[in-house]
Amino acid sequence: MRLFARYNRINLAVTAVLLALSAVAYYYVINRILVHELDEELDNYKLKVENYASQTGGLPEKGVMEDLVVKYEPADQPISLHYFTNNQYDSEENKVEPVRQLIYTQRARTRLYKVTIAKPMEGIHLLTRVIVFSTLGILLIIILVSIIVNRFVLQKLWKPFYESLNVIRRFKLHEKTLPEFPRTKTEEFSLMNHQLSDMLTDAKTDYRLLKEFTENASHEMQTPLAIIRAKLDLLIQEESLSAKQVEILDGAYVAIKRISKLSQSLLLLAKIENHQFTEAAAIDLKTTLNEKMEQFREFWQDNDIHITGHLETSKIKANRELVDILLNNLLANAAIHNKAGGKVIIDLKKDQLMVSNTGTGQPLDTARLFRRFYKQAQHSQHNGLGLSIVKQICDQSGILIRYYFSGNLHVFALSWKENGSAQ
Amino acid sequence: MKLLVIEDERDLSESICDYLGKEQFICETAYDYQVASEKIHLNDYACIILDIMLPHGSGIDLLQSLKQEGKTDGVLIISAKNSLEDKIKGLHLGADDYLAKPFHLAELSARVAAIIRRKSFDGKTKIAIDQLVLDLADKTLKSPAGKIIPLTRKEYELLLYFVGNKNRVVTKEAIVEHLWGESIAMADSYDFVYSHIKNLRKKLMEAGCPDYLQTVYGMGYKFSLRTTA
Repeated sequence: MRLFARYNRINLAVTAVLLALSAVAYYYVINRILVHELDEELDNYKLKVENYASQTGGLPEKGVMEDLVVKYEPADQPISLHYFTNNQYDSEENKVEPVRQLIYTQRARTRLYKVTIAKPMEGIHLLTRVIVFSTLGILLIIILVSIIVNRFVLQKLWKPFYESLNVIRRFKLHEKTLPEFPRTKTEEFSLMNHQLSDMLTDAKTDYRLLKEFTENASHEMQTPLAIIRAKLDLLIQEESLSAKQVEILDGAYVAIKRISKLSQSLLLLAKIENHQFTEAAAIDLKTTLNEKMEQFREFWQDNDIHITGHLETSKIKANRELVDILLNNLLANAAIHNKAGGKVIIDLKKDQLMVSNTGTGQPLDTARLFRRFYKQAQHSQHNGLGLSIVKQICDQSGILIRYYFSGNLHVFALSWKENGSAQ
Repeated sequence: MKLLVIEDERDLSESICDYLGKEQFICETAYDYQVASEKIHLNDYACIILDIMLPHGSGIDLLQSLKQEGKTDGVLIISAKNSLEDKIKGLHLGADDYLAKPFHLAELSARVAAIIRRKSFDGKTKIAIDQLVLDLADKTLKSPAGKIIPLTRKEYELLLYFVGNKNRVVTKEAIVEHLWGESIAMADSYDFVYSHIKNLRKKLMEAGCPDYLQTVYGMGYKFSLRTTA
């Protein structure tokens, strides 16, 4: 969940509870105040009655005045003053309404009277409701407005954070450029950007050193390998080699071949990553593929692999050397991981190339397929770099590569934008 | 014919000389920049095998001064750095070929032979192989009777490769790498070489030649001319 959403959710929940509580409290407070006012009004009238009684000795005219209903009843003994609320039937409006009443005893003309002063509470109920609802309404509007304002303010305040996040998302370890973080006045974000920038720079440096190491190690390996191979080439010139010795030499040749292929592949990967193949040209894939197929044909025939090709005219703008390596690796891969009597199908369309081959009946592990040193069988003679080179070249040349297993065929599908340029 | 091997790794240098010396070549060596520079100035070589990274200097500089002097020695660059940039630079400066380490000595020998052919024939493009004549211009082979022996492209290249490696054992792997490139050389089996060898041998023998191609069990093949062997 986004930060805003979480914040808003908490904020809204708390505000809603607070609003509900305050509404209840507010209602009671307002109600109390208004009842108190009402009681004072009743008191005032009581004072008038008392004054009247002390001046004239009698009670004022009973009657309905200012909404007040006054009743006198003879009483036997004094009743202490008290206020109370009860419901009374209002014949005029034909409904039961709460009425506030004051009862006390008044002495007049030597008699005790129970005086009841009553006033309907309809007015204050209405008032209470109006006050409470209008106040709550205003509060609600304020909260809504503040949420909206908050949203915009927060969004603006957090903007640098999301920008930094985008920078990190786009960051690629092997790219030459260092990520540029947006400048911000917020200290926390500024600090974070600074730290991130340092961290990414360090990571890049480490990565570059590692790459240089691989490259140098591979370079350094070439000369001793050349010596070993040359020595072997000389050794086989000897006239009197026994069958046993020949077998040993053959093993040594195979091993030398593997290690030199390995170091060459690592070097190639390093070079592709270093963008050392930048020149792009429009390449006629149909012609190139035809040549490649011709090259592989004998190998295929010899291994009883049947090749079919449906080639349409197709062009791609990419580095010639890389495309060459790419096709070599794809075709070699399809041939090597095939089975006797198997098939290789090459399908070239305007902006798509599919190389399918029979082989094991199991789909390959797509998650690890393009990883370096991925091998299906651990004892394999191949170094497991072929497909990672393919992937690297595709990434570099703006080609999309997918692998899928369908109808017992392993398919590598490459697609590109017809007029798209490499890089 | 004299060759100069400029390579600081003595072991490699000696092996190259040893291998190429089996032919009619006389091999000289230089292990560093100064010695190489002196030898280049003093002598003319049919071909110079040049390593780029040398003690006290770069092979590229040697190549440049050689060309500035207007010498026409053939130059084959051998480098541990298999980079297109170096290759283009070297070839641009007038080197004749470029070979990345590690290489097969047979490949080196074939390339040196090719350079020397190009340099010294002066338009003559015919090689005599025993009683056969290989015409490089129209890529044909003529039998002792003067009849054209039809060869496929691969057979022609194969023969040329063997001519560059006369009297020496060449591995199947080296042949595959030479004729089909390294990509296919990753394959587990090189048996398809055999059919080409077989066809070539058959054609040569049908033309009345002795069997030049000898199978070295488990290793490869050896092309030897009976008269010189």
